[in-house]
Amino acid sequence: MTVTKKESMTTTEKVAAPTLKAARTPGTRRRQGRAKITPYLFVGPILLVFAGFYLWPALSTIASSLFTWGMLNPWELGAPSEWDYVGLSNYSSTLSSADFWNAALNSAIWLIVFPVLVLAVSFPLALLVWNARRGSGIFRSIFILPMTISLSAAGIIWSFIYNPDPNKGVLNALLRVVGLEDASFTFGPLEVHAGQWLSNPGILHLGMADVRFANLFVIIPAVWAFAGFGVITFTAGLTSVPSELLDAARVDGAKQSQLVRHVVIPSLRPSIVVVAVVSVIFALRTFDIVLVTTAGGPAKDTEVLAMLLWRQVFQYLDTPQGGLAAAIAVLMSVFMIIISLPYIRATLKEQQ
Amino acid sequence: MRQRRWTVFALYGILTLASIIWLVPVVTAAMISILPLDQSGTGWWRADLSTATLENYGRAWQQGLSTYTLNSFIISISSVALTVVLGTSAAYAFARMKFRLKGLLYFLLITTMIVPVQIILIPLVPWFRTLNLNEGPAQFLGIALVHTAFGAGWALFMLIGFFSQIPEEVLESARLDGASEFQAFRRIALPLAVPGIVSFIIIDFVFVWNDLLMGLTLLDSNHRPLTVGLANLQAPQLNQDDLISSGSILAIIPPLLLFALLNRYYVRGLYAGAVKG
Amino acid sequence: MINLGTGQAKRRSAIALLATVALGLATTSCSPGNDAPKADGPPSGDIRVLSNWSGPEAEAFDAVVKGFSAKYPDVSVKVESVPFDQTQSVLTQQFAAGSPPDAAVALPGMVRQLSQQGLLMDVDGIWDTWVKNGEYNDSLRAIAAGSDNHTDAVYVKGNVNGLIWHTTARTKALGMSAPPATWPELTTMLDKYKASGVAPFSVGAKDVWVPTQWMDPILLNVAGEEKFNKLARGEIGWDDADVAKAVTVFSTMIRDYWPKNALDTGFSDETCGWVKGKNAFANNGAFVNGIVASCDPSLRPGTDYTFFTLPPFEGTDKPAQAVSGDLFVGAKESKNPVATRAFLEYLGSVDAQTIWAKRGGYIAPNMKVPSSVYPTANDKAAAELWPKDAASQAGYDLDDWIGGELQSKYRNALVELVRSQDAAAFIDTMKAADTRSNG
Repeated sequence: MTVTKKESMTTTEKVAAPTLKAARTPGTRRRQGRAKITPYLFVGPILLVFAGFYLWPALSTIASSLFTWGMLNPWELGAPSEWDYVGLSNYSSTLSSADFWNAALNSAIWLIVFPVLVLAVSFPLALLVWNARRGSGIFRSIFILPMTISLSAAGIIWSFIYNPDPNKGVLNALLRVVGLEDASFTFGPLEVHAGQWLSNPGILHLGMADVRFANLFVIIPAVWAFAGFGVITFTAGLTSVPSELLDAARVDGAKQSQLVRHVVIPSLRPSIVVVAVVSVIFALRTFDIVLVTTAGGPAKDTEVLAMLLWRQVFQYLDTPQGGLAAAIAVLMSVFMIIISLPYIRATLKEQQ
Repeated sequence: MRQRRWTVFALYGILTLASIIWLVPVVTAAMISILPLDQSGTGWWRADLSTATLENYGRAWQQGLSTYTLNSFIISISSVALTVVLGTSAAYAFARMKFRLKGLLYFLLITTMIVPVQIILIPLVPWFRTLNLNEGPAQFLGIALVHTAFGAGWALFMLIGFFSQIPEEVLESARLDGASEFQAFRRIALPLAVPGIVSFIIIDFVFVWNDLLMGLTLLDSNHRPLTVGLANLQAPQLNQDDLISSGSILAIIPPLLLFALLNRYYVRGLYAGAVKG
Repeated sequence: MINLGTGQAKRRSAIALLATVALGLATTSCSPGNDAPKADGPPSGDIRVLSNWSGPEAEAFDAVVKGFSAKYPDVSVKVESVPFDQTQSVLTQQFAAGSPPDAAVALPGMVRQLSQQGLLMDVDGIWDTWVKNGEYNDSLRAIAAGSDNHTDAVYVKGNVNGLIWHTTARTKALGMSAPPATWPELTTMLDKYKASGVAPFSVGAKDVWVPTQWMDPILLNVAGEEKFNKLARGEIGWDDADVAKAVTVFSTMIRDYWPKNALDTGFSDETCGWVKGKNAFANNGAFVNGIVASCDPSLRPGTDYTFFTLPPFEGTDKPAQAVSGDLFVGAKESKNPVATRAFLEYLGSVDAQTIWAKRGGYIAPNMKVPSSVYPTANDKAAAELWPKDAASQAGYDLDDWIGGELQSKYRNALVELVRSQDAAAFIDTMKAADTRSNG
């Protein structure tokens, strides 16, 4: 759920293409006999932990999505007859529920806006840092700093920034200075309320539906925290841009913008993919920062899927909704596997 | 020439501006954390700096953050230790050995990186109860095992590359000298993978330290980590900005220190790989 | 951090050890829990208690726990405090994990949901005595009822809502000599203040429970106590004519007298905002009395700031009082039921509630607590409003009463109402959400 975990992908990608090929040289007969057990001694422990604390709970989630149950009497494999088997009806009622689609829309906004902003912010920053001959280390450190901050802490820190009282919040103090305190504007279907960052920053009236912008101001602190990951990845990627190629292009009289477009971006394609994929993975999981900034509110304006699921399990106890929550978890996972399948396949292929 | 000077000027101008924007949130939290509430309440940027004090930290510490911090250290260190130990040996096997179902097992472990954590979250609560991991310090073991399972994919993804880079001849010569597979792993392979392992330690520590959802869901109030403690300070009937800000600064420090201390190795690992491409 | 040079053998033994521990844990899980509790004898041992107060209220609760420890020195009480908003999820998680606290703070909705699963200790015996002694009445008992035909909770802390708080300096400047006795007097006063260009009320509606504190007294004043309680219990729907009228009155209040950015700020900021003169009034519960000091310690309760109740919407009869309060439940699976029961009984007792009442910002639900224990004029006046006999009409906090998903939908609908002031849309939303009255 944090920013930095995803770093690993880059590192691997940069470090070397991992290979799955086995030891090439066949050993003696005795060694071959031992080799049959040895690998399992190496991988066994992690597989046990994985089976007990990932695979098993994941299968339980899938199975429990077929029953009606509530968290005060949680579903367990031991006594399935205690709960009503309902087949796929948790899925059909989830897919026909307005609350689900509201949360799915908010999650979709995260899935699109968050990776785009991360790329749009970190790529130029990395290029600028790369171009800076002096002090690049300092600038890079500054942009990387928020990467170590948990998203809950990032959300809390940004709540100070967003404080609507111009005597407390920096943003509204600035608005007051420029005379835009409590200003509202309407541009056609777009309505903007300056200073109401997390409660009602703006609405886009689209006839049948209103798009509210509160999500954007929850996403911004996450981008602030996450951009460091992009900067570090692109910086690592930029060192792999062949300098001969750059020099040759410069000799040919290419402009800076042409260099970026024709030399830098193509060599950075793997890094861009990594940053995009990792931010998408992260965007769907998002929970912490929403919990500490808006808790899904106002109303359900910023309620993402992970938040809805949490509520169904731990707060909506008047009707048993554990099965519905499990169904959402399964839907989220299936969606994630489908959209990252091309990437997984490419990675696996690369490693064979 | 003149044009180049202008570009350099613009470059540093933009970088400086971006740096300022980037630092404002942290500076805000830091300032609020060292000011008395009545000072920060009228704008930290015009506060009387002579009133600065560390008293907020003392109070935040006494109001339970000390326990939360200790919990965070226990959870993070045990989870990272377990993940690194188990993950390193597994990565070695995946990189250098042949065994049945290897492709499938690798795929399964790698999916832990992609599938949202929500897929395991709910059943873990009754599962901990079944395993007696639901009370007392056993909860720490429980959450460490979950973090390990969750970190397994990342460990493999990061470390396999390091092990597969080692030339087979080096390992083979060790074997010819009579070394067992474990000895070859320990004496030859491990030292070569240190940059990767250090990178993984940083990443996994930051990840576990910053986790909120697992701690919130799986642990009772006495065993919850700092992230949860911090979220808990947002009481609805009190203005606790002073405590919240000092708590958030406290929460930032350990991963930041670790990152600063090991950054050298980390970046070296990153660049070493990048050069080899 | 980790010595990667340690021998493989060591590592393997460490793994083996872990595996053994895990297996051992798994196999012992079938055996019953700790020592069987003592069925009789004086309470002793440990109990774990979950509370959700912070600041001065947390200190007051600690003082109550000290009082319990003085009475039962053999029992050691460990208090865990959780944020108010998270009480329900923490309780759910701990009950689901099989490690519930022995006693915990809860609201009626939660009491009914937990008791439905048979998770709560019934405290019928304690209530029988209390009602017989005149310490509590049956209408208070009904609020603590579970879904299992037992009383499953005790009343720890009372509160009255719908109090219009104001500083006397402000109202004097406004020329208000006496509280408004009728609704038109109220709106005249508010309009007069509004003419200065500032919204009359401070409202911290970022905290989702704040608008619910407005809806209750308005429903009671406009639709009446009977409709209020029928609505709470799902016997009538939100489209009932009187209820709908109340919603319309509320939405008009929002439109005319709330600040435009009511959803931006939370309760604590707005309370201090009112104290410091940002707006003239704040509509909130009696507990505000205990919070004003944290904003401005120089204000004296009663003389510098006080409250009046919302006047009746029609006529001049005193409307039913909006009340709320906190309950405490015991876990049926408590390993120490004797001490837990003693703790619950103590919380509801005159002794315990006197300790808290003396600290202010609190109303003792136990009717035998004398009014002389309240420290300030505001506390005394608020305690007078507590429904002490069966004849006095009251409506218990609708939001706390319903609980669960319906509560969440109710709060969301209120946020929409604050934004749009569209009473009809609110009624439609609630009609769709609350299907209890549809049969």
